Amino acid sequence: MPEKKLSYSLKPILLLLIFIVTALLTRQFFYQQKHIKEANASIGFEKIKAFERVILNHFPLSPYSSNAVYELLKECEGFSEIDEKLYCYETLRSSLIQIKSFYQPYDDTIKKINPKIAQLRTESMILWKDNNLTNEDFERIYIAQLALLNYNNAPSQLWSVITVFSLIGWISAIIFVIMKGFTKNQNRRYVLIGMLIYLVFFLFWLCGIYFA
Amino acid sequence: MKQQAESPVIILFSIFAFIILFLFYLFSLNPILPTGDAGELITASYLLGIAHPPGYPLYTELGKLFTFLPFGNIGYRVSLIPCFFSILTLILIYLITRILTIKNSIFPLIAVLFLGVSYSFYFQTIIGKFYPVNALIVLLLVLIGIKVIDSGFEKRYAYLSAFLLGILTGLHHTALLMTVPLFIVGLFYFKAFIRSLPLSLLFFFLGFLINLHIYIRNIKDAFLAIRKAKETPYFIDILLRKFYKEGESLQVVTSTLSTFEGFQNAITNFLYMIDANFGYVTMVFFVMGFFYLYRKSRRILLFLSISFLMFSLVLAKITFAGEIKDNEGSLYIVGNQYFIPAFCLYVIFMTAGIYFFVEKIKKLIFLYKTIPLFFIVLPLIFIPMRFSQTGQSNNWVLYYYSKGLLSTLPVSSVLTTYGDNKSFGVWYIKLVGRYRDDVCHLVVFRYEATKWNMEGCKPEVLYKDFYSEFYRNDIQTLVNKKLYYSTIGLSEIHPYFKSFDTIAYGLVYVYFPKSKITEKDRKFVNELNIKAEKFITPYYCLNHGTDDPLTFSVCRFVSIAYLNIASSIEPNLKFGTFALDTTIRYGNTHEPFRVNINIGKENEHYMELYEKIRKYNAREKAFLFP
Repeated sequence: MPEKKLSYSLKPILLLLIFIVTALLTRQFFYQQKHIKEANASIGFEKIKAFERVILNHFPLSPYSSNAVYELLKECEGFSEIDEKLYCYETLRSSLIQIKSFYQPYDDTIKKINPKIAQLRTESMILWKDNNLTNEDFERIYIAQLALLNYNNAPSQLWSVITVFSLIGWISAIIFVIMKGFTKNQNRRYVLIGMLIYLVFFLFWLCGIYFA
Repeated sequence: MKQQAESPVIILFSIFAFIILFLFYLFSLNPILPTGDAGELITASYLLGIAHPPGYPLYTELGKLFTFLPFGNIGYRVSLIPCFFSILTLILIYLITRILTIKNSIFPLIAVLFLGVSYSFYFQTIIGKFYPVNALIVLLLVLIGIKVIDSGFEKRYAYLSAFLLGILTGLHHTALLMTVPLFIVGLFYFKAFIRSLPLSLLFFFLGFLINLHIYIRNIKDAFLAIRKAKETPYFIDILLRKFYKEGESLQVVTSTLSTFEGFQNAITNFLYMIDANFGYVTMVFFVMGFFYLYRKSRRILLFLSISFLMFSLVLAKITFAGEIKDNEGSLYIVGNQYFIPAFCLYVIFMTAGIYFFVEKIKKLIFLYKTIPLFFIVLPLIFIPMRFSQTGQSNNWVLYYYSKGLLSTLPVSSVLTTYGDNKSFGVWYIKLVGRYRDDVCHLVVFRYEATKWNMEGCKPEVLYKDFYSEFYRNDIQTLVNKKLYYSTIGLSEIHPYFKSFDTIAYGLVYVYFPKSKITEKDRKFVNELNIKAEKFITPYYCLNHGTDDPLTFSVCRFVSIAYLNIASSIEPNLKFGTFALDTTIRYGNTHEPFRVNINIGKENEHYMELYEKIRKYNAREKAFLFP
C-alpha cells in the first residue's frame, strides 16, 4: 500500500474539540437544570440531595452551581438536629471536593464550613453516651476533628500534572523513535533526538510519581 | 491494495454516525459512581495509587489526567475514559474493516454500528472501566499485523508491537494474548523477524517500565487496594496477581490450558455471549467472512483467525469454563468484559461476510443497494432500547448507598466492609469525596478475615486520637462503646462469632459483646433504625433505569434496610406478620438472615418499599440472565 502523506490541518481538530466541549457542557447544563428543578420541588433531605446533584454536575461559571451552594448553606442553617445539620454540611463539603479539578471551586465555602462540621462532630461525640466524654474534652476533640477536615489526602497537584503529562511525553517519544527513526533507511538523528526526549520525560515521570 | 476515493456523502454519514454514538455514550454514562471495580479505579486514579492486581498503572494515570477536567465530578470524569476510548476503538474497527472490504466505506460503518450498540461493548463503555482501553490497544496490534502482511515486514512495526505489548502489561493481562498471532505473523518473515527480536525485546522492556508506577507508589505508601494492615506487598506479587492465589496470572493460564476439562462449557458460554450481543443469525455472515478472507489473503485470514481464537475460545477456556449458574458473577464479570476484543474481531469477520454476500448478489441491483442500508439501520434501532434499559445516566444507587451507609454511623466509629460494591463505594465517597472522613473504614478481602486494608483510616497520626483502642487491637472496647459497625453479619465460620453478636441496623450491623445483648440494647438499635431512615435514599432503587445486576444487588441490600426499620417499629394494631428466613451470600459463605415483623399502620410503608425495591431489582430483569 502506498504511504499517504498526512495532511496536518488544525481546522478539523479545532472543530472536533469545539464539538466535544459543547457536547460535554450541554450534558452538564441539561443535568444541572434537571436537578435544580427537582430541588425546587422538594423539601428536607431530598432538597439537599437534589442540590448536591446540581453541584456534582458543575461546570465553570455555571449559575446553577453557585445557586445550589447558596441554597444548601441556607438549608443547613435551618436544621436543628445535630445529625441532620451534620449530614447537610458534610454533603455540601463532599460535593464541592468532588468537583475539584486543577483548582478547587468554592474553596472559601469549604474553609468556612470545616469549623462548623468539626463542631458538630465534636458535639455528636460528646452526646454519644458510651464515649464517656464531657464538655471538658470539647477543645481536644474539636482540634483533632478540624485537623482531619483540613488534611488533604490527594497527591500534590503539581507533581501529578508532571506525572501524567510526562507519561504521555515518554510514550509519544518512544513511538516517535520507532516510527521515524526505524524506517527502511534508519534515521539515527531521529533516534537520538527521540531517545533524549524520552529520557527527559521519563526522568520527570519518575520524579512525579515519587514526589506526588 | 488500492483504496477507492470515498464518496463525500459516505464520509459525512460516517462522521454523523460517530457523533451519534459519542452522544449516545455520553448521555448514558454513569453520573458519578458505577458498580463493580469502578469505585476503586476512580479512587486509585484520584490518589495516583494502585488498583487491584495487576495494578493498572496506565489506567490509573489516564484517570488522574481526566480528574483535572474542570466539569462534572471526579467519578464522572474518570468514567469519560472508556467513553472516549470506545469511540477510538470504533474508529480503528472502521479503519480495519475499510482495509479488508476495500471498495466502499458503508461496510465499515456496519461493523462500527453493530459493535457500538452491542450490549457488552455499550455496557463496558458507560461503567468507568478499562476494557475499552484494552480493546483499543489490541486493535492497534491487529491493525499493525494486517499492515505488516499487507505491505511487507518492517522492523519498526515489530518494535511498535513490542512496545505496545509492554505498555499492555500496565493494563489487563488478557490483552497479552495478542503476542501469539503477532508471533505467527513474524514467522512469515522469519529472518527479518529474528533480526528484529533483540530491539523488540528492548522496546517491550521500555513499555513494561510503566509498571514502575506500582513499585514507586507502593514504597511511597500511596493508596493500594490490596494492602493488608501495614504490609507492603512485593511489586512482583502485585504484577503477577499472586494476591489471588489460584487466580495468579501465570498459574491460571498454565493450569487451565493443560487440560480439556470445561472446554465444552467455554464454547457454550462464549456462544451464549455472541447470541446475546449480536444474535446467532449473524454467525452466517461471520462464517462467510472466513470464505471472503480466504480468497482475499490467507495470511490475513490466519492472523485474524488466531487473534479471534485467542480472545474467544482460549480466553473462555481460561476464564469462562464453568457452568453458567447465575447472572451476577460469571456472565457480567467474565463474559461481558474480557471478550470485548473477541467481539471487535467478530464484527470484522461478520462485516467481511456481509460484504462477501453483497458482492455475490451484485446482479440483483435492488438487493445489492438495500442490504447494506438494512445492516446500517438495524443496529440503530437498538439505541433507544439500550439507552432506556441499560443506560446508567440515572444510576445514583451505589453513590447514595455508600453515602447512606456512612451517614447512619455515629461520629468517629469504625466500619468494616467486605465485597467490591460495598468497599469500593465507600472508598470513593470517603477518600475522594471526603464524606464523613471521621469514620475509620476497614476492608476485608475474605469474609472470615480480620486483617484489614486500612486505606480508609489513613494517616494513622490523625486517626489515632479517636481510635486508640483500635490501634491497640482492642476491638472489645470499641464494641462496648457501640462504635464498631460492619456490613458483615456473623456466621459460625467467622473468627468473631465466638466473641460478638450482631443486630442489623439500617444498612449495617452493630456489634455487641457475645450473649450480652439486653433489652436496652435492642431498644437502642430500634431507635437508631428509625433515625436511619432519613439517610437512606430509596428513590434511585426504584428509578435507576438500568439492568445492571450489581445495581440490583446493591438495591436488594437497600431493601433489607427497610426490613430492619420495619422490624424496629412495633405497631399498635397488627395487620399481619412477615417472616424471612434466608441467607445473605458473601462469596462462598452464606450468612443466615432472619427477621420477624409485625406489620401495622406505622410500618407498612417500609414493607411496601421493601416489596417495590425487590420487584424493581429482580435478578431476572438483567439482560444476560441465562
